[in-house]
Amino acid sequence: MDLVRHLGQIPRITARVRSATVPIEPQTIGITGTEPKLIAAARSHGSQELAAREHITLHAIVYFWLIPAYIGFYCLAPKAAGGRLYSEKMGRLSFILFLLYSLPVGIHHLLMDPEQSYAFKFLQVSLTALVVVPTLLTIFTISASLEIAGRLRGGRGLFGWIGALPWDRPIVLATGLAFVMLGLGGLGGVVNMGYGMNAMVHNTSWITAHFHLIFGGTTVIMYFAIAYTIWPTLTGSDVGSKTLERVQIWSWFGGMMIMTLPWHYLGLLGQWRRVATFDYSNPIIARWGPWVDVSVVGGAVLLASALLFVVNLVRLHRSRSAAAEAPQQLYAIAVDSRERVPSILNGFALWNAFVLVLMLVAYGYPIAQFFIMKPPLALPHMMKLPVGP
Amino acid sequence: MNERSWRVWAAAVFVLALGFSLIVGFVVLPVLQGKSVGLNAVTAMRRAIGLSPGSPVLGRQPVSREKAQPTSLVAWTPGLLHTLSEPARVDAGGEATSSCAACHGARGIATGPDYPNLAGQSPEAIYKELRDFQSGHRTNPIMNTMAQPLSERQMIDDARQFASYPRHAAESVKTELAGADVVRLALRGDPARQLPPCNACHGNYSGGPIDVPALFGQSEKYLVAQLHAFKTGERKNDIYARMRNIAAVLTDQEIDGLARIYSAR
Repeated sequence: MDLVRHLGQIPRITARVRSATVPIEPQTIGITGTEPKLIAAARSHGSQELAAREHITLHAIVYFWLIPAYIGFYCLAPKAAGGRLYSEKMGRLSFILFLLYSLPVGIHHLLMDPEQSYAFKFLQVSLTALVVVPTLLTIFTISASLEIAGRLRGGRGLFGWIGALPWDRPIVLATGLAFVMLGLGGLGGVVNMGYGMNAMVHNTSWITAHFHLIFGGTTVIMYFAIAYTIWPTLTGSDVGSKTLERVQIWSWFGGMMIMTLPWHYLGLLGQWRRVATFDYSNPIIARWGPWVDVSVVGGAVLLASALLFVVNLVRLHRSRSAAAEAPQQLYAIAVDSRERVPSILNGFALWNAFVLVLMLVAYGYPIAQFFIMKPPLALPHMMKLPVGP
Repeated sequence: MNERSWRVWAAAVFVLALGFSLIVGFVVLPVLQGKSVGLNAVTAMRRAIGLSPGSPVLGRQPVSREKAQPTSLVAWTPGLLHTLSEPARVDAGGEATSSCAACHGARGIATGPDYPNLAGQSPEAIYKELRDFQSGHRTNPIMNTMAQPLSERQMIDDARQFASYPRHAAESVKTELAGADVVRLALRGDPARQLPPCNACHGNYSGGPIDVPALFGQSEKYLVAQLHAFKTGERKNDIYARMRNIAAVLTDQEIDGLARIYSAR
């Protein structure tokens, strides 16, 4: 009961500590006895647990969200474009590298956190840098796959195959637009990843713009297109015209660009994130206003596009016209499909061992320090406190 | 490639990537960077890992009986910034008629090398110094007396007036005016001494705190005097001791060179 009573006092105590002038007399703080140590323990344990939980899981979670989009890139897009997957080995390698480098990298979200030492930050940032490898592998492989399709459809010259692609098919269109957003968002991510550059954009709208481009953009636009591709194969019925589906995908792309490009700029101007309102009567903040207005327009376009997605699904579901053809195989066959896949690319045994080593090295001590180090006491608890009546 | 070489290559790349990160992050960077701040290799590596704290943990919070003194009384409120950003109320002749003109010139170009040029400074920079002269946070026998009787309104008007005059100044650092090391200080700073580049705040069109003065075209003698005043701590109205910390590590030769660069017209 005593602990509960004292926990209730924390906001009052901290407020009084902030307003107190130096020197702080224990009497002015109004706490007595030995309970404050318990409060300190309870509070510090809670915050450390929270930080630890976030930095272990967050990056892994966003990559698991990204994986369905990548499955769309590798399996559905080349097939829908009428070509073949350029290399199955590269695809498998990309997914394995994602497994390796999406897990032991979470401290890159905590580069400004004084609780983490900088050698571990360096280690996890260099592992983060390696995420660039599977991303570039994917862009190369899928571009090559689409080039095969474009040339099979009669595209000529260096770039002629791009125009020859069937852009009217939702999944092909979505893949193209997803790559544009992945390019911009990925370059922004390389900025966030660098320790020094991160310090400039940390906790600003730049970050919000980055993850909207990658998740809201690249990933979700592929979710839409995957739904449009898979739904008719599940129900056996399809809509005749794909116009509304194309409008929905284009408007999602347009809305996302209109919303996130101003956010990037606002982040560079210093607009912080995680706040509800800004004081626009301050002249420094007032000049953010027009760009915020633009981003609101982008948000409205996105909302309309999301509603149109629901409409499209309902139309697909209620349609009575039979799907044009029931494909025997929904996914793309690889050019190298006759070659034998090396066994290490056909299982997780070796990679799980690598992940275990990486996780132990990258997180072992940073997590252990919460248990073996005594947390420093907060200011009020460092003082000799009089015993209460 | 056969099965075996796939495994060997995978293991080799894995070990190389991890080994590179560990060696650079835990050994090379701490030892090299620690050297520049006088840490021995073992301490630097222990700090990098997190075994030793970055700064010594005090057993007890230090208690001071002294009350902190503010560096300046200027507070950049939205109202003040609004007023300063309005256009100057230029009177008929378009010249400063006040007593300021006697030293700082009718159009902000000083009448002697001891006095700073005010033309083309930001209104915020001029207001901040006037206010500090008035409150005594910056000391100068002439200016403390001159600023004393001014009202808030007069200070704002003077600031806007002088800010509206054109500044006659070089557009960028003229590299022929000083040695390569001084030019480097202006453009790149000196990380080993924790010196940021002067131009980062004082160059034309650069960022920095709102009250930073533009330096190009300023009086050379005045610049030398102010840098020495910051260096000795005689002038202390710079928030967070920014300029005092910078000037403290500048040599006299560097101060002379920088003043030559920034006084260029």
